[in-house]
Amino acid sequence: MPDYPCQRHGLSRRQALTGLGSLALTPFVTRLSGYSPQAPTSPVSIGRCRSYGPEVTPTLGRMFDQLGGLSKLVAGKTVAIKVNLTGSPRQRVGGTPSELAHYTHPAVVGSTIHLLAAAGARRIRILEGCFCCADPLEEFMLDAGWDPSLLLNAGPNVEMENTNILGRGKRYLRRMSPQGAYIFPGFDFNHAWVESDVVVSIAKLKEHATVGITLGMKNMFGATPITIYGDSCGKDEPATDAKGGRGTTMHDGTVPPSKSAPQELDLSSPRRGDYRMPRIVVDVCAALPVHLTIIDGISTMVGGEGPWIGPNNSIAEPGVLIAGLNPVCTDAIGTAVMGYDPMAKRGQPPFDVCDSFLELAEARGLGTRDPGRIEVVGAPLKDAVFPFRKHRNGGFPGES
Amino acid sequence: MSTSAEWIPIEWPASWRPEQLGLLRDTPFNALAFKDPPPAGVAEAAKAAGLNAPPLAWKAWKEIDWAKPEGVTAISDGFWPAYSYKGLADGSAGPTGEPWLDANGWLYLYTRARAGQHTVWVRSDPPEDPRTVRQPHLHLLLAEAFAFGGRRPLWLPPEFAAALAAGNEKASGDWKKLVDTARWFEQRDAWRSWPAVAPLVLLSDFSGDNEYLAGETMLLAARKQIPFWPLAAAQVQASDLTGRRAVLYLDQAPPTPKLLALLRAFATGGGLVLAGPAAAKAFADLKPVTAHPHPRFDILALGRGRVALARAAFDDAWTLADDAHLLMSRRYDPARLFNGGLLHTHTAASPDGKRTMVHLVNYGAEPFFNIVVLQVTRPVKSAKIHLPGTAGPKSVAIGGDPARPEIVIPHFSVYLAVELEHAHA
Repeated sequence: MPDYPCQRHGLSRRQALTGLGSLALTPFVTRLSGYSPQAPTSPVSIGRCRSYGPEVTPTLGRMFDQLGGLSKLVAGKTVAIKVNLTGSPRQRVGGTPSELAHYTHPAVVGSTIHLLAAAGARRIRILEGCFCCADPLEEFMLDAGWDPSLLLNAGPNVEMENTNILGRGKRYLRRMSPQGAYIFPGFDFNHAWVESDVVVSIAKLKEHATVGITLGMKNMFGATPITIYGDSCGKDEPATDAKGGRGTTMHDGTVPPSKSAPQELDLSSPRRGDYRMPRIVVDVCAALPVHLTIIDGISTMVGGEGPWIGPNNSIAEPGVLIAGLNPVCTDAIGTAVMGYDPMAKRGQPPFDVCDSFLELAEARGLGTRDPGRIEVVGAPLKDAVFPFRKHRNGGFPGES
Repeated sequence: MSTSAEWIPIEWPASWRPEQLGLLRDTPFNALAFKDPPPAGVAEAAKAAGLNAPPLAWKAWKEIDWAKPEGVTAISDGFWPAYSYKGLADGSAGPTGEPWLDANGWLYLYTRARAGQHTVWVRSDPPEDPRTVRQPHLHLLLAEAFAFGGRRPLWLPPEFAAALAAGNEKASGDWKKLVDTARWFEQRDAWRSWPAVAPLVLLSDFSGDNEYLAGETMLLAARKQIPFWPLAAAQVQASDLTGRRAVLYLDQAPPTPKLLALLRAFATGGGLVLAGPAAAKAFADLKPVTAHPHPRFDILALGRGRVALARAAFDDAWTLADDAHLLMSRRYDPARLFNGGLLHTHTAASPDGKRTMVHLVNYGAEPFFNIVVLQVTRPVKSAKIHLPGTAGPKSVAIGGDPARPEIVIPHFSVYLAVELEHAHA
């Protein structure tokens, strides 16, 4: 399990992240609100996997074993899985199916569900804030050309929910960041996030136009409901319908989230995506800790996070899976696999035009980004490196 | 003399005189449509030349009395089919957030459903500045009507018509291409009557207080590319519902006892019936399904199917169409396009059920540069592409999951059809 402050205080995760937990942690939060000199570390497993065929499940199984096994993490627990289905389900990179480019592949999701169930997970929720809509997640997947029943049948007690909206909850539930925050001190989420014991982020190994790279941590940004944090959010209360993206409220900061939700700490802070988004990513992951990060780098896209980042995008096959219990450590190794230096600062690849959310997360005490402090198990890192910039089909937004 | 079903109309240009009838010789166009009373002598000369010039009483689609069909039912308020910039006037893409297409597919389906074998022509006024009309737009007029099984008189821009009458070489070349396109469609006229693959039925009397909502729901369902078929509530038979997955009863009045019996039988057999609050009493005996509450509908169990009763009167056709589609499920959509942009599809089945034809209409009316992929939700044995201007169909590779085969669509500017052969009917 990641070494979160709440555990040191002997609180359960649910206690720590509900109002009671937040109150109990107040003195500790104050101490941690500055720089954390020794952010926690946790091993990261790399698995070589060349296809989305039958090899995915045994590969992931070995990787989870290398991390200490899933049972102690999920047995008897409700597990929430954040998949990455960014963008319109009808938009592809060329003719390539989205799961081979910018969506997490259902084979990785299905195999993970299978292994979670085998490890004793009581209930498994597949969750996503579906692009600009309130559609049921199953219907969103159908629109992408997937068969959601394959995922729903991958374990005995699997369900899906679009967490842009209230869904099956009666109200949105709040998570405050025990470690302090950069932009938002906490968030209101769909019930499924808060009423789960374990959060798994299944991300894609991708670059990102705004924050440089999008891996396990950035994936969690999509957990924020657009009824509260979207372009058509309600002013006072969450909107009843979900429309639009998160450009104005999150990227640009020109529209506040619904007043019912925790508001920004400092309205005089820069209103720019390259400043805000790396910080909001850290804030989300601080408020909604990720217990297991899985990065799908078997087949992916190079040059950005989705087909709309063009025209220099292309498809690549790094043939790799990455998993870890600490999202910062896992993303740091993922960054290294992509051929980038996770210690890079703003102005250095992949953070050419933005602040490094890895640096910000480390400073906030979520985890170390220093590869020298992260134990890599499974395939050696040097053998897994797939330099994205060399495979890029031209320039990148913001590059001269 | 041919029957009205065989008439292939062209709208007579105002500048043309009887001597221009010769331009129609050796073309598929065998009927003249006049928006206004024709110039002296034209109708008589047309008849003498063996052409048809039926009297037409152009009316808005809502004003048509389908119980008393005229020789040719003439609908005047179609759209000029095009990608519209109207929605961009205020910097937004309109309430739908999708490309704003002025499209008539819904109207052609509606007229087919209401008119049966009776002949219906649809026209619209051209754009305010006809000089904005390019030749591909004229092909689009023909293609859209063909794709959705309807018929639209070809309209010619005044400058083009005048140049053609004057024997201008370029205009003559463009005219030949139009004639070839029209001929290509007429050679495949049988496709027009292939039944739509439409899992969702929109049921209404399409009149009075119900007219607005029914019309808007058809229009917006079409914009969302929801495969639907409209049916008149008073005429619906059990056989009309065979193979359907959902029925959306749009009207404000409770269903008649006969209709109610049909709807209950449909749901009992596994279908989904959606209705407004007025139908609540008719389903008062049913127990709610509470597993997954819907924000706008109460879901009730009936036999192997469900009844979805709206808690409030229908007022937002966009949301209603979306709700109906999602409650039915997209899994029954016969086809979907990836990177479709300004393309719309209409899927129809051959009478024996062994083949489907996916018509693709490009409202951009110019070649696209995306890689467009068609995915169908039924296994396919073989696939062929039909493209106007080419002699015969071309086989095309089938990729993707065999349960959801995919076909990469070649670039085209206006119309293309994909013919799919299935292993089983």
